[in-house]
Amino acid sequence: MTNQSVSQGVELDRRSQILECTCSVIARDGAEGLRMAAVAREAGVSSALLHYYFATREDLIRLAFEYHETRETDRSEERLATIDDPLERVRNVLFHEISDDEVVREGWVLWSEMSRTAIFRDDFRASVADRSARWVGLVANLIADAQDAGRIPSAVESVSAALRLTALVDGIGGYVITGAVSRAEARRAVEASIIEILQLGEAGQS
Amino acid sequence: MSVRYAFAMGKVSIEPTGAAGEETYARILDTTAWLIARDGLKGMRLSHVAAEAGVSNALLHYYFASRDELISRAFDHFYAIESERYDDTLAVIPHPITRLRVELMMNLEDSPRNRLDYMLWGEVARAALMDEASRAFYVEKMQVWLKDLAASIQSAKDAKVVPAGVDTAASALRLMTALDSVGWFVLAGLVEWEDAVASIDRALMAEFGTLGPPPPAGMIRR
Repeated sequence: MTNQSVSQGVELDRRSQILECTCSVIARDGAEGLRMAAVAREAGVSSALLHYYFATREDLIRLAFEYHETRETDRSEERLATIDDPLERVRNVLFHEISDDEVVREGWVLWSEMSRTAIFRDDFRASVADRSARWVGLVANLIADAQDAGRIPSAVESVSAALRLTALVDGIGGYVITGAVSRAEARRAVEASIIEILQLGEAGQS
Repeated sequence: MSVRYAFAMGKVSIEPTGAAGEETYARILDTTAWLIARDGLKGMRLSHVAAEAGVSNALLHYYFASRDELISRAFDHFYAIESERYDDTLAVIPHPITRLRVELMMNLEDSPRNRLDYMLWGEVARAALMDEASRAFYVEKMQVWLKDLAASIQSAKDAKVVPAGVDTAASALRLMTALDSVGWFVLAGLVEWEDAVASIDRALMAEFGTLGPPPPAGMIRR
């Protein structure tokens, strides 16, 4: 490693650490009242350094959201790699959204804060639209893989099925996290939709 | 910051007397709702409410024992009117599924009132997500709506216009979710109104296999 790439590596770590910290601050307090000085303090860096990495508060919030999404995509890829059955992989990503997991809650708060701000801000909207498209795309690809393996009927239109299923689990996930709906009730509603939307009812598909 | 009733904290608020008092009272509540939507639950300031409603701080404190109480009364006031507005419109539709369909579509109308509804509800949901003390209010309202939806579905089952095997609670939950997400997308400009209507129709078809007979002209509108 040259000296330059060493320092780039340090910068990358520092950025990640600040973004990680920003995610937990937002998950705890919301994005609305987020202050750069509070993030600097919690991340253990000076305000000056924080501003060197992130020019504005809005940049910091948007990049923290994108950081969270990228990290979660990596994690779900690792998780999916351990599952052999392609249909089970589809079910796994969907049910993960209503699981009892602090990271899922953190993601939920970030999504809700971003979507809320996206009503007023074009750059946030582009970011939310991009990440939504990737999330739906991931599920659509998993459905298509399961179709190739003969686990889901080929008549299912993978993109529109993915749209419906992601909208369902994302919405119900929020109800579960706030306690408006029990996890068991949510699972039952999602389970029935998976069978209906992926046309698993016939021919002994699980 | 929490949304809860002040009487839980042992305080008493004053109800208005006389027509003028009621009008002022309602204006304060409308203004509060509007400012919560604009500034958020945390950002809403009592002094702004007083200024925008054209009343003194003293009168505001006379009517409302606490900020939390003003907030919860403002929500109740807003949703009481909403629920009357929905009931009035829907009463003329005899078919239970058509009625349910129009009810869902009314939530997609791009009117100032609906935008306010989404902004307010967004604030409640957000408070519930961030803060345990605010959860009870959110959960209570959610469960009322889920029960209402389930009752509509049950009446369609009783009238035998949907299959008897429909899982009432699960259907209600799925329709609620479909509406919640697509409603936000329309408001944020991420989805066209026509596509949103089509997606609700698809959800209804998936649940019941029917949309019911078409409603009177103009009842489903942008």
